[in-house]
Amino acid sequence: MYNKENMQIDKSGFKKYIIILVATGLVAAVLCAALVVYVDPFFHYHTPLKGFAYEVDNQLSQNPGMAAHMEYDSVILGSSMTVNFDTDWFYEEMGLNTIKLPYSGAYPKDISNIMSVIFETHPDVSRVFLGIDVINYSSDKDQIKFPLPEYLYDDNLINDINYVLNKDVLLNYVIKPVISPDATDLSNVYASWWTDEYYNINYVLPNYLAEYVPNDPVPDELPKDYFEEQICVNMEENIVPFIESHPDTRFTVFYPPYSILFWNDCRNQNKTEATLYEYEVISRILLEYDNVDIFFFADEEEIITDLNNYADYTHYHPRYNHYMTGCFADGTDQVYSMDDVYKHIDHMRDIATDFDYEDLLKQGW
Amino acid sequence: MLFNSYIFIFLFFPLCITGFYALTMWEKPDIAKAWLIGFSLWFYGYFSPSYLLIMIISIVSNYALTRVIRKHPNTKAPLTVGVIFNLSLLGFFKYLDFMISNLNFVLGTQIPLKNILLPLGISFFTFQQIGYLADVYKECKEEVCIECKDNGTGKSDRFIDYALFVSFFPQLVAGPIVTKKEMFPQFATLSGRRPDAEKIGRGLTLFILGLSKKVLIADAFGRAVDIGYSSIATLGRLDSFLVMIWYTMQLYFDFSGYCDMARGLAGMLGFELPVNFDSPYKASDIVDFWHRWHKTLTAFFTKYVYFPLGGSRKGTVRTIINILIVYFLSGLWHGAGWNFVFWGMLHGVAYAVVRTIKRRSEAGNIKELTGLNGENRQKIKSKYNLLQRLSRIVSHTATFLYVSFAWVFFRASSITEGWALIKNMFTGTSTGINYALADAFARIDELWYIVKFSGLPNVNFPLAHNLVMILFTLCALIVVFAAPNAAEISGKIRPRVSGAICIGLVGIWCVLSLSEVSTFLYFNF
Repeated sequence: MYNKENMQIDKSGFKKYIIILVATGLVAAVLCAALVVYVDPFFHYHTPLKGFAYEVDNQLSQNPGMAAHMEYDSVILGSSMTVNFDTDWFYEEMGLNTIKLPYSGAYPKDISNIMSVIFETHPDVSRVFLGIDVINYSSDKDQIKFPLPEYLYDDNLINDINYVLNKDVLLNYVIKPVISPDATDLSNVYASWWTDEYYNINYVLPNYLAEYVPNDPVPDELPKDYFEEQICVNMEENIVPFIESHPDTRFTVFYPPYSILFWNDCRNQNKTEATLYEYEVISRILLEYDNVDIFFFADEEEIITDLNNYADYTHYHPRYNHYMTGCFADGTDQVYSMDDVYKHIDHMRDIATDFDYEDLLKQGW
Repeated sequence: MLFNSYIFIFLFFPLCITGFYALTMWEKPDIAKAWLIGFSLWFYGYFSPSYLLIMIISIVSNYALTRVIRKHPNTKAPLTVGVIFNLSLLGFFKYLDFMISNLNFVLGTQIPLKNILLPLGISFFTFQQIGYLADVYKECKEEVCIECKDNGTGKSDRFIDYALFVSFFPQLVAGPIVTKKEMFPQFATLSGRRPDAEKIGRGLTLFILGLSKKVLIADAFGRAVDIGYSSIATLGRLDSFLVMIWYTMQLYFDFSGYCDMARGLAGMLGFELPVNFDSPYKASDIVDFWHRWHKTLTAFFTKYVYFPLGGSRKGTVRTIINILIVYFLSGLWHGAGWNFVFWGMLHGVAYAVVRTIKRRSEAGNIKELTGLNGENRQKIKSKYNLLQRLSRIVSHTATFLYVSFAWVFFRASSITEGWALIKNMFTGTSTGINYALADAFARIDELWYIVKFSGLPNVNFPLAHNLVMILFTLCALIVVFAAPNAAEISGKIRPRVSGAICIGLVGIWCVLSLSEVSTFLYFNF
């Protein structure tokens, strides 16, 4: 119980109490921040420390730092269609020191955001490999897939407090790698979790059908040019400025090979022609530039009609990433003119319209 | 601005308290008040500058109305206008869409919803101002108001005091709801106010404890609750029960944590705010619960709704009706949806039943005991003590479960969704715990280390996650049932070095928890 004397002691004791409490908090905060800055698991301030087992698994948080502070002369950009590229292949096939900076579900604005960092810090980057998912290029020009941790994308030191005083960063990316080191192999960073057995029609089809709702009646066909205007806006705002302002950088753009189920969705929504036209619009814009190469993999019939090559309706086996890397090196499937583009589109149309979808789908019902 | 934000902790409050005490010690109380009002506007406007305008209009209008009330103490009209004005403001921002959707449902119309952004804290500062108007009216009626006697020329509450009363940032957006009587005398003592080490020490401790309740406990439960409510159809019996308990925990730690922070901040500035939560889950019955949960709201409804309706003075039936009216309004105050009304009525009905039983039981006990001689009375008392102990355990448990059951509708997006969860508890699958729920706890960063060092992942990974979940839940239950609450701890804490270090470390741990690394599922694009 308190008496008067105790009260007096407490009064003066509380001054000391406050000082120790605040000092403990501040010292601990400074120590934590110093540790994060020193290790810098998101590469926000410096290049990686030698010998530290960095864990790289967060595209939103770690891509900008890797883009800014790692050494490379070429870069792979795009959505989850690009996560299974192995950068060692790029060295073996083309002698390139490549870094992979994908954003799953990337919209053009996501690509633009990371390209800004790349060209600001590495203006002499020689190659940019860009996977284009046409369906995402008709989005709003400012749309991004996930909210970005802005503090890792701007130059504001004050908001870096979100990074340096962050328990997630400290425990999962600084201390955990010390206790349980499992350094990420950057050549294969962000690779998908599907192991070989998942690339199987018996896995793909039931999952697809679980969410597939056949439209009955089939909706009116989408006008062919339905997406054109927005695609042009996106290209002009988010992609073309980088191509124009870096004439010495070679932009290798490619259209990934989605499975036939993707085209079944287009058929179901009656937008096959509008989707095919997206390829035409984007290609026409890009072929204007001498520093752009286009590779058309979307109509790789042997790949796309066999669901054993996929883990879901669009995600193909990593061996096709390897195949595409070879194509980038030797020019297979490259298109040089709109005539080439039309040939691929016509081929794709033939596949998409002639395929026996009902026969395929009934295997999974 | 949130209390649990870097800007508040590292910039806003240090600046605020330093300037405030500099001004009070300089004996400039009005400038000190203006300083606090300025910071309160910054605090509120940080959420959205447009909110500020609404709050300022509300403050100015209500102050003008109090002047009218004081000038015309014999008529109730200005008070009525004031109440209507405040309820209309609240109605427009909070209930318009609710009313439209009900109209559409009943009349089959298709009036588009307005989707008006609800200004934060509007329910709190509106009620606080209604209370103030009523208090001023009452003062004037009772002729204790100096200004009325002096025909509008004497001393009265000054605008600067009133503006501070409404906008005071510690309690602005989530209470506690304070009254004129509680705050104005404190505003009169600012001149020469010096920093009091004990008040600052205890306030800082309370703030950190509140912060830890919010960011270390409530948010952890919240992650699991969000997963549960987003996948009710897949929940089994045990899952559904646990989700209900976790939300009960989340809500308490979140709301009471916020109020602890509010009291701690006010305490550091030398102000005392009323206690809003007094270990509510230790309640022995629903009546007791409402004497412990959101006490200032209960006090508001009691004083400004229940008593004016007649309280318990007009017979049992009328008392029950009054209770039901209060809880109907309380439900509606908490949210614009029938699920909130339903939640309110669940409490109202239980309150009325328990209150009636308690009254009768107390009366019966007194009658029985007064009719006995000393020895027999002692025997009966012992018998009652034993029975009371047993019944108290049952009563505590039943109260907690009933309150938890009612919270299901508070959290659900509709009554139907709430019932779906309840139904699952009885008809869902009886398999083990949904892994996604257990995983929500394993995603608490600190617990990875427990799982890692327990050695269990090598044996059985799901078991390790379940263990973490059970441990976390059990610890939280022990805290709410058996431990002293944050207010009690901060009120009794002795200024020891070890205590200061512990609280300092808890504080920095909370700060480190304010920001998360964004993680999303990357499987599909």
